[in-house]
Amino acid sequence: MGSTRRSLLKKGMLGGGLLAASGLGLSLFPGKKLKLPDTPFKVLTSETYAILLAVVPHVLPLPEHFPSAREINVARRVDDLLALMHPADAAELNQALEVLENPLLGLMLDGRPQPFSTASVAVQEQTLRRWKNSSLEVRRTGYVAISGLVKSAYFSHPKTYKVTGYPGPPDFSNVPSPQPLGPINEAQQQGVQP
Amino acid sequence: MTGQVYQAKDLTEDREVSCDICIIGSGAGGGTVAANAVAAGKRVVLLEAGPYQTRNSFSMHEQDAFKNLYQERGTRATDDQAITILQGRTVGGGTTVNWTSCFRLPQKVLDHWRDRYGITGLSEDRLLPIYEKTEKRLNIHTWPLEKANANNQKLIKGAQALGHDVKPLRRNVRECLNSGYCGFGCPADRKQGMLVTTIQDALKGGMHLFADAPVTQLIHENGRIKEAVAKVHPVGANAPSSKTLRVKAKTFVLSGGAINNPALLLKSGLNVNGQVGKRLFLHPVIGVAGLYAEPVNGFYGAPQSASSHRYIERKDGVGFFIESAPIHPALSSVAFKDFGPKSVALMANLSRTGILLAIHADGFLPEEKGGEVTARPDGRIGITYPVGAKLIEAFRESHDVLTQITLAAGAQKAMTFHFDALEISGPAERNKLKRAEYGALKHAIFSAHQMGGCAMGANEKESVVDLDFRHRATTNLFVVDGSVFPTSLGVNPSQTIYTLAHLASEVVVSATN
Repeated sequence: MGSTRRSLLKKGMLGGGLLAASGLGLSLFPGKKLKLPDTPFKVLTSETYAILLAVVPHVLPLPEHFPSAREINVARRVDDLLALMHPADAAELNQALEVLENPLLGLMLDGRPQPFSTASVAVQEQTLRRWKNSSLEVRRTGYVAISGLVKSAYFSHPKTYKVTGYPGPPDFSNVPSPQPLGPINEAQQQGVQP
Repeated sequence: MTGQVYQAKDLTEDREVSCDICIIGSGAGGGTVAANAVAAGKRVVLLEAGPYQTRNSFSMHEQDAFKNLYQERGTRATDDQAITILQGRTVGGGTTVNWTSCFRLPQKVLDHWRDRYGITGLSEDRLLPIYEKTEKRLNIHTWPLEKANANNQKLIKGAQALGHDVKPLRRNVRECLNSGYCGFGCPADRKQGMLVTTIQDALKGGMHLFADAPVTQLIHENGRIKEAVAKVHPVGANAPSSKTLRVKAKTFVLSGGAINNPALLLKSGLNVNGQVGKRLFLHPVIGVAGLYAEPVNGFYGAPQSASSHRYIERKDGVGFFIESAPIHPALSSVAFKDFGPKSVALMANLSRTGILLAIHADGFLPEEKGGEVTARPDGRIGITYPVGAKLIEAFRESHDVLTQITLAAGAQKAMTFHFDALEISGPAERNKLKRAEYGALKHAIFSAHQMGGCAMGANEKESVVDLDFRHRATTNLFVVDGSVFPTSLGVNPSQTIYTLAHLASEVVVSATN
């Protein structure tokens, strides 16, 4: 097992490294599973969907006048982006979420083995904070990957521009292009037969 | 005869093409060589991994721009996610999405390259006509400071208040709209990147351009490249189609940038003395934000109008230079590494926020070996970059300098991009910076300039290409872009790449005769 972990660490920093750092299998304390939406996800599973939804309100504790994460469809947007990435990157993000679910952290933080998705809000918050400030580099890596995806999925949506004070891009469609400058080389001007 | 542009939708069957010169990558290096080679009468095929997007298809929304125009959908990073790497992947490469800041080659860098790496021949006499030619074609000129947006005005005001010299930047633009969307592909063809200049010249002269065509293998025999194999990859898909494009040529030019070039060479079995992929330099960037009482609206206006090189020479330390950042929501949200209500509050104040950048000139100290690019068995590119003690020391200093400038510019508070974000409301609070930790995964680090990985040098043991840009293990492969830099530059690199590419064009053309 030890050598397998080492090779995982070398290959994919995120998924393999976190797996190696997590220590224990997850199957003993099943977390939340959410019914998947009617339009299936391309990468997220019912487990990782539930974990991601539990992460979102911590990364984005949105004031009332902000569009809700549900309205922006953050999980769907994360899934859409993951589906465009290398399949191994997408798989690692799923793995990172699964490791975040690790019930051992709940045990450490409030004495009960609690998977992230069913833990109290306070334990979830502390777990994320521990990842963010962990002495294990690979946990900080996992924190950056997960929180970055959630933030960019939300704040890249044009519906959220207004609450940041960004009026959005102007319409450039009627702005003409300048006349192209001619080639500077005579041979180019004459054109070359290929 | 005018050449053609082929995209994934045109490449529905396997295809073989032959030409004199096959260029892989259409950015500052490949785009420049393409026009010169066509002008010299060569039959040229230009391959680009990314899509052919133009002002008609560019989207001014981050949700589309990163996905369509950047490597790995805008998520490219070092393996540990410590450094976010912004790098173009579209026709025109980095020149389609860069922020247009241009510099001639710094003399100190040329001297260092000559003395340490034996790179001779880059004399003032030789470079001057190339500068003039490039500056004319790309309309590189000084951008007047009075056109600077409020974010750049903060840099000017703050730096001048501290007695620092701030210079206007030179930009490759024509009748610039000062709109702020350089990073999304110029919406009105005002940026004079390769897409609207040299690539158009080359197409008019008969070049064929294949977009959506990432090269996955260079086939070689007896020290000669025979064929470049590309897998057609539509921008909307996460994997290549089954269609293959094979290009046979007399000469091959590799211009895919400092990360993709080494990965392709390694995958193709073309390592040289174990040096391919080594000495990757990223100009690591840190930022400090300032919250102002009045609107800054840093999402509008030319992203970069001014720079300060006051700290580029630091005795026994890593130097850095200072510029500004465009401030759009998604990228800003990712830069703020902390989470929770404070982090959301920062976003709610984005229109009153300014962001200054310190860009670190890595690779000049003997102990700085840079990062490394590897080719992973699963097809992904591995990127490691150890943030060493000297760079950490420089981060400490650059955070302090940016904070001082931000406060001197009148900010109510300066904010760092630490995982535990620091807020500094006045000079007395600068001691917070002293207590903070710096380095990988302690605060946001970005890279917008990727260099090295195929270093040029006179010593064949420690370089990948010789002084003629020729790959040392082959006779007909040339590497032409920022990947040949043996160090970083300490200035924005686009004009250095144009310049080297002009020099390389002569060699490439004569090798094809």
